[in-house]
Amino acid sequence: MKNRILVAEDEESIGELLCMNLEAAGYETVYVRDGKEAASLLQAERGRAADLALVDVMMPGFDGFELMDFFLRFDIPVIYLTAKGDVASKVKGSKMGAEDYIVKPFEILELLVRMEKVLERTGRMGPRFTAGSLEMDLSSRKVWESGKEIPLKPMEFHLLAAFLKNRNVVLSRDRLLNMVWGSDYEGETRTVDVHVASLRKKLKTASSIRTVPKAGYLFEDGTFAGRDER
Amino acid sequence: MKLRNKLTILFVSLLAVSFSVCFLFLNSYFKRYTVSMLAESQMENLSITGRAFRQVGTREDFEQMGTVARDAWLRYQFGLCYGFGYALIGNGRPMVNKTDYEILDLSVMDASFLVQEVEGRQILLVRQELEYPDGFEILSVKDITPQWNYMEQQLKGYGLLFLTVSFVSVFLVAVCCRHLLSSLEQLRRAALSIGDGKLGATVPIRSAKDEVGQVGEAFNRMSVQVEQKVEDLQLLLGAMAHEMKTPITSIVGYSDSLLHVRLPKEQLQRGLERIYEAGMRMETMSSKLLSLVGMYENEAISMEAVELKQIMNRVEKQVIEAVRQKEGSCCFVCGQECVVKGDPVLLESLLFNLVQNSIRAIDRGGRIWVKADKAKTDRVRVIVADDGCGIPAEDLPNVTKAFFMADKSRSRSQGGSGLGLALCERIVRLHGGKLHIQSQEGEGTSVTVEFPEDGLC
Repeated sequence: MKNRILVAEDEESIGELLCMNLEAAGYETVYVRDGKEAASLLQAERGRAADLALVDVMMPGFDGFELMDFFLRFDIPVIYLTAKGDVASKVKGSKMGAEDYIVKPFEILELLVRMEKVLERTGRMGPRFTAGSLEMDLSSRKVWESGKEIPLKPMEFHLLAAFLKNRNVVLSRDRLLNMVWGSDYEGETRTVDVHVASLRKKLKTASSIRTVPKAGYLFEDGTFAGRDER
Repeated sequence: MKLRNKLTILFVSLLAVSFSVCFLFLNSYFKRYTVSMLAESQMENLSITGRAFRQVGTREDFEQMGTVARDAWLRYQFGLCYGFGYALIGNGRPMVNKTDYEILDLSVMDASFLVQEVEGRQILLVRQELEYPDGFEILSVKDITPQWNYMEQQLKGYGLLFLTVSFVSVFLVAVCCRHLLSSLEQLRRAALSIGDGKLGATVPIRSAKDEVGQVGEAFNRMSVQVEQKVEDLQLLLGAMAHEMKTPITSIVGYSDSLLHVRLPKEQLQRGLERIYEAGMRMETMSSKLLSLVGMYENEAISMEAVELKQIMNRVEKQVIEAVRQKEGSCCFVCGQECVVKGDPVLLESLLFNLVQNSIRAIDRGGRIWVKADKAKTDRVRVIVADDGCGIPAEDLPNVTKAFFMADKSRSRSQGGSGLGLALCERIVRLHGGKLHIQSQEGEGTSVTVEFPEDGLC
């Protein structure tokens, strides 16, 4: 099941930017342009509205902080987006119950990683991921392809999970090392190449892991998620 | 050297010179006066005794007497008539000396009286000829030391008084100088603190009437103005940085996506378009900002007679397409002889911005009026009115501030930068005119530009 993300942003160009990338990475999106729309959507759909909300702090109607009540009531984790980089609004945001805070302009991958963390922390990351005939279950740590279980080494499993969580996004070798092996791992980037090679050997779907010259790897997924525009 | 010390020294020397001149004059005058008074009374004495001497001490046969007898007779008579302290002089030489002093040389005494100092005592010498017989004189010698001392004491008293007065006035002058110049010192400190970047420093004004007070006031006004200007600029900079965030986020975000995210083809295209749009928005913003900040700062604006009719025609051509897109109507009316003194390029920009604001304000099918006429006061007015969304009353005072947008999303979605009215206000101000904005939320806005009378040609 794909996670549904509520994007509340009054700047259309930025809202569209967020949706575009989230969809490519495998999320479903709901887009609202101001605080009032967000509030009425939440009142109508309650907790089902989204698994996570990306909310711009400065919005007409209700601003991001004012919307916090709704999100807390329906138990939807919130990541604030804002041009304000100051500590005061950061503190205010997290005091009010925001999960995280990201300052514009932001890097797409950074946003994705933070979202992932929040989803994992709040237990909303669907334990099962699918891509074509590939299926993986994070809780039981098992991978099937066309119904047949494929045994993977722990690091190969985590690497595959990283790819599936960030589809269509270029992941550099350093980034992958960081995501899978941890920030204190002092290995070489060659390690990533070795593990990608063995994934490709073991899984047919792993041929979707494309090597992007000079940048890293990218897991191609042609089925882009839909957008629910309000 | 400090101004305070300079002034004090100048005053002290002036005082010293004038007081010493006064004192010297007083000294000599006083001495002369005292001595002449004493001498006069002595002379009076002498003439009285001289008259008595003539009556008592002479004889009828005096003329017939020989010189020796006559002298002896005179000596004898002198001893009877004159007491102690007198001398009889005959033919320039002392004949009888009843004084304590030895008479050495009478030729030094060319005036009728003289004061001599002998062994620390002041002696007044007075010489008078006898009425009869001719050729004889009486010299009186009087010790005037007590009077002399009394006079000197008095002079010393005066001197002391002068000195005291001088010291007191020097002290007062120093205090006054310090007091007056402390304002200057405060000015210096305030100017220094402004120099150090603490803007808005002011000085207390003691009296607004004197020159120092006026300088202080002028300084305060300057300081407040400078602070205001810098604050405005900082606000402008802050607002600008804030406004840049959105297009920059767009550009960075979309280019990041294009580089690092695999996107469907149509979205790739969309991303490029968005980058282009954001770039264009920054371009509009920067050129408007440039004209707002740097406009004609260094050169005078060209002031020529401009016919508003021509300006209106040009603007009409520029906006007609945008009005048509909103299915609205825009009506341009120009009265007779609407000529103002000004810069045609700026005036066109002014009118264009105002009409553009109206276009953004109106809904589909809205109406815009642009009217130029001559008011009763002979001033030329331009009115741009619309029946659009209007401005909320609480936002009205802010609309001419740079980057202020009453309805941010409406303005942005139509390409507004938040700088239009700020620019308009500046142009109007450069022409010496006034900008009035009237608005009713939901009913429309009317902007009136009033040109000054002397702006007429």
